[in-house]
Amino acid sequence: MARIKEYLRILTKSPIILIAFFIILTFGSISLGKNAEINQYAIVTAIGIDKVENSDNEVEISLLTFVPVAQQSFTEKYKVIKAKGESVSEAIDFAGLSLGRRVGFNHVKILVINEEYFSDNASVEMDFLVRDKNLALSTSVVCTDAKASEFLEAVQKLDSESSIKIDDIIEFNNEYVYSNESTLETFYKGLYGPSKSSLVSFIALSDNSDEGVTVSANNGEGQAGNSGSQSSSQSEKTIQNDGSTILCREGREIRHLNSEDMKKINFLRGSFVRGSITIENFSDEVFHNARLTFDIYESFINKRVKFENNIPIVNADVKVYVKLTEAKEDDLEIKENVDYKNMSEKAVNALEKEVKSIIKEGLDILRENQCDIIDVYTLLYNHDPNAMQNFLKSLEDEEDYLNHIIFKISPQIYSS
Amino acid sequence: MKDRTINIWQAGILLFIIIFANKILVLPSLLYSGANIEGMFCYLISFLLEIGLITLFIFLKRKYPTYSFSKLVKEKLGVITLKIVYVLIAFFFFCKLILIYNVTYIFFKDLIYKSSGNFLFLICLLPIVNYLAVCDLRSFGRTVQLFFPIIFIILLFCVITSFIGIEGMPLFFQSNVSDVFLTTIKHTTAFGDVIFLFLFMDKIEYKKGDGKKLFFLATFAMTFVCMIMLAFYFSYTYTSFMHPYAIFEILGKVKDYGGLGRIDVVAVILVMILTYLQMGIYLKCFTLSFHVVFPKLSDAYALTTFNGVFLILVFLLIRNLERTITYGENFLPYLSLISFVLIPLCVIVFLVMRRKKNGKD
Amino acid sequence: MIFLNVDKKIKTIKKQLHNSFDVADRIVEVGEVKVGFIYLKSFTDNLIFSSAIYEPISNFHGKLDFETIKQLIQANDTKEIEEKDVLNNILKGAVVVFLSSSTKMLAVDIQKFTTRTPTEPPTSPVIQGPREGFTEDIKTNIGLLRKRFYSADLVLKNLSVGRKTKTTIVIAYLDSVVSKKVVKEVEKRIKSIDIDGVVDSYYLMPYLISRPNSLFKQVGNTEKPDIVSAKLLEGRVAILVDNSPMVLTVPFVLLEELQNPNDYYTNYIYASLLRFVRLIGVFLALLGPGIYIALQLYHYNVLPIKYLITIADSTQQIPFTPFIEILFISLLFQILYEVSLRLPSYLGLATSVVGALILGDTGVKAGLISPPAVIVVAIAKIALYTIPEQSAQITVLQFFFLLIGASVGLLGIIGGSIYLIAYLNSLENYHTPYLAPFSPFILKDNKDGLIRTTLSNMKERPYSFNNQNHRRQK
Repeated sequence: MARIKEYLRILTKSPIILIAFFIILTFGSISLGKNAEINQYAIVTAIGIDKVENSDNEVEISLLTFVPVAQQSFTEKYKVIKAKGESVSEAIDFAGLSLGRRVGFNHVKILVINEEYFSDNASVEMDFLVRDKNLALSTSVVCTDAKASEFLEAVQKLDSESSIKIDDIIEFNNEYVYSNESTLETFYKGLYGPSKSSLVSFIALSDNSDEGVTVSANNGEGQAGNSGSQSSSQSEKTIQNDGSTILCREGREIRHLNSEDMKKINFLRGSFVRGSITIENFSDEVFHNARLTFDIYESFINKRVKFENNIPIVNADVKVYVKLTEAKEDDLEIKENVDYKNMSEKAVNALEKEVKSIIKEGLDILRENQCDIIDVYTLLYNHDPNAMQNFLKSLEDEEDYLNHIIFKISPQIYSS
Repeated sequence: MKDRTINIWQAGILLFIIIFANKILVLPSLLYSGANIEGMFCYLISFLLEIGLITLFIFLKRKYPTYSFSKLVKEKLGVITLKIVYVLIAFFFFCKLILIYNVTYIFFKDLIYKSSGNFLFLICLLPIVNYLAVCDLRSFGRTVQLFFPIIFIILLFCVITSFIGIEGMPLFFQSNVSDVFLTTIKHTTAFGDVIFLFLFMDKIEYKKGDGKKLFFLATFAMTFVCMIMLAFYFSYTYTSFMHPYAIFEILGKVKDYGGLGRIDVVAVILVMILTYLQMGIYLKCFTLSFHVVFPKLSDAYALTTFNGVFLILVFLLIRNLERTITYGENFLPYLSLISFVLIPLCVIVFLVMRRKKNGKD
Repeated sequence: MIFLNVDKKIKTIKKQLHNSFDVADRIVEVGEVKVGFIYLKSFTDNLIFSSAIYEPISNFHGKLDFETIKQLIQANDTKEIEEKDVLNNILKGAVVVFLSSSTKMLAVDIQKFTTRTPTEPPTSPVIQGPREGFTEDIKTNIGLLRKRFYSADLVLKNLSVGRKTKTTIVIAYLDSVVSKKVVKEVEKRIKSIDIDGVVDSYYLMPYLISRPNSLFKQVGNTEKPDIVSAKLLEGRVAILVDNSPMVLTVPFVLLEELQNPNDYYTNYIYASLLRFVRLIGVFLALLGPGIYIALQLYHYNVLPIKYLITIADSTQQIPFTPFIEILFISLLFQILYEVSLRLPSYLGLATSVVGALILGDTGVKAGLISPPAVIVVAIAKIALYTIPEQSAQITVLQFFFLLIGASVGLLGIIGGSIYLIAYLNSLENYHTPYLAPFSPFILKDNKDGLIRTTLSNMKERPYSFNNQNHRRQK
């Protein structure tokens, strides 16, 4: 008893011992037994959503999951896990059950949705994923004509056979084809915006293994020291990227746009850095009946809006920087000034005419489908909300405002 | 422990953190839901009220340079009023502590901790916050001063990175004046914490011209909040309501930063630092108020009371974010009466009484 | 006339010294006067005794008295002493001389020790700059300091501490620079020490500070005279202890650990860069393992996918939990470090081979530890020695943060950092905050803070130290 009293006296005299003891006991016991979270969660890098055949409600989820392997060579092994359920969240639960781990969405890069979902409001299926805070809204959204699970298997095959990653393809598309990103965020921004329109990237799958993005025919294994990956994929389909997009309104696909259509629309959207303009049968001092191809280095648009007699007018100044990259002429002689730095006035006029016609075609696409991808509504509303509201009220169909806006396009061509 | 004084820069940095910390997490999204982009004006209106409080503080400090607020209240309004006022102030800070813990617990649990419960957060937060509350005010002021450059750099990084990702414009002029005022009233809970200046009135060294420094830092904080709100609204425009955690979301647009992956963990670290410092100052204010109400009881009693009640309430009250926001919008705005009505009322009474006294003389 | 019985006196003194082996005595008769000498032969200079003391007296022909003896003795340090001081003087290496014809006594200091020459101290190597270091002899140390201050401003005050050892302590400061309050407080603290003995300057440290139980160093120490001189010029007080090459300086600020003597003998831009590197090293050492373990246990979502794959693959086969694994590796490193300190140099190579190859490489191949963990701990342990003076503190804190990170994750690490900073801010000695000039932020002092400006720009002494006179140069 006296000894206990002595110990208590020491402890109260120097509480640091008590505190240290408490800290080590509490924190030590928590930390000694805690296992790494990596071993409790399945690391998913891509999600696919498909409709189940012969079923109205059922959904099939495919998860491209990383499978850790105890080895020293640091190769990546992926597996596509499929699960069905009445809803996306249920299907993901079942997927987790089959993996024996919880599903973690923190590393998801792409979300693949079968095109069937875009025949109706696709946002209904994405609802679960949007509410999960771990899934970044900067996750790329891809629409595909094949099954999403097959797409993921093709992605897995692509990863295993080459160093081309699906992320690189999507990034390329974002930068050079869409001039914007096709992500969950942009999809919802379009959906909840005044135009209710959005663009979603489209990547097809090809049955023919000679087409699409392939590298070598052998089923190579990853080597130590490289970040190659092992594959257990059975897919014979390959990814075929042709720069397509789907134009959606209220989450539903309105039109399938090819890369040429995108180029036309991109002139109106803002800046972009890919594309070319071709002039046929051109003649001037240098060329005679030539087919000239100009590469677009950069393009900018400056939109100025105003209201005249309650009708909105958009003056669009489009600056395009071009460079001659190809001249096809039957009897082409080698000229000194073949790079055509100082373009003739005729060439400039021809280019301006061509750009104007391209932009008009792009505008027609948007008008036909009542999709204000270029967000003219916001510009007009912010300029004069009352005038805009009056204008909308004056229309029979408020959503058809794009057809009643006057666009005055003034292209300016510059040589880069 | 008897607190030593802090200089005006340290007080100003504390003010910066108090003005800033509450407003960068859930508030921008809530203001957008209520008043669209005009939610910025809701913030500015409430900020003006806070500037009013700061002005009152400077005025009081000039008139009574060596007095503490409790001494003033005691002399001018009596002991009973002193106890009532300080009980209300203690209650104010206690509720704020619960609210901050609630919101940040849900934030951390959603984003960075998945499988951890209340216990983990409590054993981590409570000891540090308790230590900050009992440590000398000067040490606390210096700590905050040392963390200020880190906070500033992270903020600057967040703001600059977020502005890079801006694509479109949001719609302006969608809400009217009544929407703005109603939204302001609904969210006054997030404001009014600057009354901590009154509680530490006698501990702040004040020289002529120091008021400008306080205003400068307050305006600086306000500018940063506005920049974050703007970045948030311009980044997300119509989908702002879908993103409850503004400071986290504005960094979420960056996919892969230099091979380091997602950089929104930087925002999480900022919120962690701010949570500790903010809870520390609130608990210090609570301890001080408790000591004024029960002068014979030491700080240990204040902390024991706080920890006991806090632990009970935390286990009862922690719910999801939506419920917390509902409580915050429906019940807690009345709390701001303590800061925006009670304190100014006290100061006005001091003025009137002083004038009367002068008149009699 | 006989005033003092010389033989009896010598016997008494020898008895007081317990007839120690090294007590020597001589008696010489000069005329009618007996002169007695008593001293410790172990540390007096026998040559000087013979030539300067004994011979002049023994060869004197005439009437010998006390004043004559004073003139005959050809030594510098001669003083008249009282009865009570006899033993002290003998024990300090003096020869005590007394006459039968006088009650007065004389002490002649002819102390001689075997001491080493001032060489470069192993704790503070420099690439450029002075290489002298203090030794165990306080007189040599005082000499090294004196030759750097050819001015009367350098004040040296002598104190004695230790009931048994009676160690000489010298307080040094610049009279026109230092704050008198600091000097008074240092003197007061040293005088209040009631201890058996002082073997090294480290013994004094706990008595000089307000919080002796703290983990953190609150007194500066160095073996280099140029560093002590620089600190004196900044307004600090130096404390030299006999038999210790380590000189203490107060007040102390944590910034001193980031500064290195090399910084002042090289380009200022490079020196500033090096200070940042040291700071980063400190952060890596303190927080590296803690953050790694926190990310692994709680926040795997923060890690980019490539790193995650590396960690996931390499930790699959490890039988331990991550915390035990890191703890095991840290302990291994610590054991290796302790062994390398104590082993003779010819066994050092064998230890390195055992440590690096067998424990490191084989441990990974056997699947007991994972490569990422080894790398993280290795980097942390190496980074520890960017500031070797704080290695003890950082090692302890490393374990602390490891424990916190493993149990509560990033929130705990941030909280621990805040607690650490708040605690450091609460440390204050001699009216100087521990984290000055960062906290409180003193702009002028930051010219020699994390960034070092040119020496010509450092026109004022640091304001952190309450100096009397802040001006260094025009």
